[in-house]
Amino acid sequence: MRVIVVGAGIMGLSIAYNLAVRGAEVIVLEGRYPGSGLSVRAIGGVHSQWRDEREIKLAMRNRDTLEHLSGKLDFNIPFRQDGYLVLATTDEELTQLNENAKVQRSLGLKTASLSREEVSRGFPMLDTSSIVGGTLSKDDGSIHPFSVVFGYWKGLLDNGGKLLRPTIVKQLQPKGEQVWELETDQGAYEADAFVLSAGVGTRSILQSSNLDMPTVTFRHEMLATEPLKFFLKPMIELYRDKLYINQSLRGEIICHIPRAESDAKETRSTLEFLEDAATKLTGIMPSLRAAKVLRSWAGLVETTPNSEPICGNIGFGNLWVALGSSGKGIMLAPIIGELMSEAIISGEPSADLQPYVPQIIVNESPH
Amino acid sequence: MGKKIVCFCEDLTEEDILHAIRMGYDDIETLKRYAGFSTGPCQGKTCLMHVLRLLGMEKKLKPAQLRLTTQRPPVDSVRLSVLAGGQE
Repeated sequence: MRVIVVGAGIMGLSIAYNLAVRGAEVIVLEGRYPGSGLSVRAIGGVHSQWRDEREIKLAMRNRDTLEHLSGKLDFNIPFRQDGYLVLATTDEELTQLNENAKVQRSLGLKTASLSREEVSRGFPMLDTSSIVGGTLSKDDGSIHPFSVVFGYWKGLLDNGGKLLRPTIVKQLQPKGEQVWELETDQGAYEADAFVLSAGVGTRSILQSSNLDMPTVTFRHEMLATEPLKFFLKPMIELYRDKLYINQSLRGEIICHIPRAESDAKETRSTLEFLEDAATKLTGIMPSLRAAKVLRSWAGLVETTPNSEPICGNIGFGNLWVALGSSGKGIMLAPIIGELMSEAIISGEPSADLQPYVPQIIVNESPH
Repeated sequence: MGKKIVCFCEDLTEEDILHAIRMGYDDIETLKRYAGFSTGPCQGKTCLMHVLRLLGMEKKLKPAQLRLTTQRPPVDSVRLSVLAGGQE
């Protein structure tokens, strides 16, 4: 079976690697460099603190996969299970977090509900004056996103797959009832199956064939400080502010905030973000006031209306779509890659991914 | 022969960079993320030109065919307290 995967981000590479391991002939097409869309811009938080039962179960299976990924790919992928702490600033948020934690515990996770005093005692680096409490999952944490990209890339090549870069996809063409053809700047490709996993780029490829999906692009911004002595153990999320804080293996404090909706392909960094992030960061961790910002960057996140991933066959022949949505690509790509590759090879939809099947909009008949 | 260090922030030698290029991390953005140069306190001011020279020599590229990595603000590091406002 020959499969063309469009986009060498964490999602496309995970699917491609898993297809190659299962015996498919896989070619990945990448327009710039591996991970260049969003994967190498992510800060790498991985957690299971979701509200929805099926999403929690998927996150649990993903964690099992991640724990063994270095060995499987023969590549060092630091998955640090240093914990993931979600902080609430209002009673309403805390009630929601505690309800989520109850669902998580009923599924076997050990998510702890913490009072403000427990947060203060456990994490003395935090200024908890605006915090009412939080939830902590000790087995969650973060991965180094570059290493996952490079690891899957190596795994793909080790299993006979190919990655062609730069190859720019121009158009998706229907060819008969069940078959598509992909036009690129390097020529046209035919395959038994095509997988679109190009993040923000997926939608424009679909649009080239009068298809569409109901997603919106958001610009997210990130910053990194100079390396500091290691002091921050759990990854931290401020639930309402959507502020995500991690300390990298090199000691940099990395902070991520989703910004505005963006229809342009705009990945510029803004001074507004730096000021906003600095205010929020030093508010929750006053000792960071003396830390210097080394750099800031931005990424475009394709987001679905319910923030859930889109994974599956689009319903017209041999075309499949995989999109993480809201940064869940980096979180769920390992398990989604396994499930999608099984579905593509068998031609049957994956029962576990059933809730995430693409709702494709047909602007006019593609055939 | 002594070590030829090209990146002082991450302690990378010429050998490290050439090894990474030969492993297939052979465009400047991928090489940066694999090896780690240009991401430390100097943000590429010390290392980037050395690495571009090595990449050009190894891949037999002319200077015009080499491109810089995307340069990120701020140009010089800034304390969070300055960006946040308020007292030092």
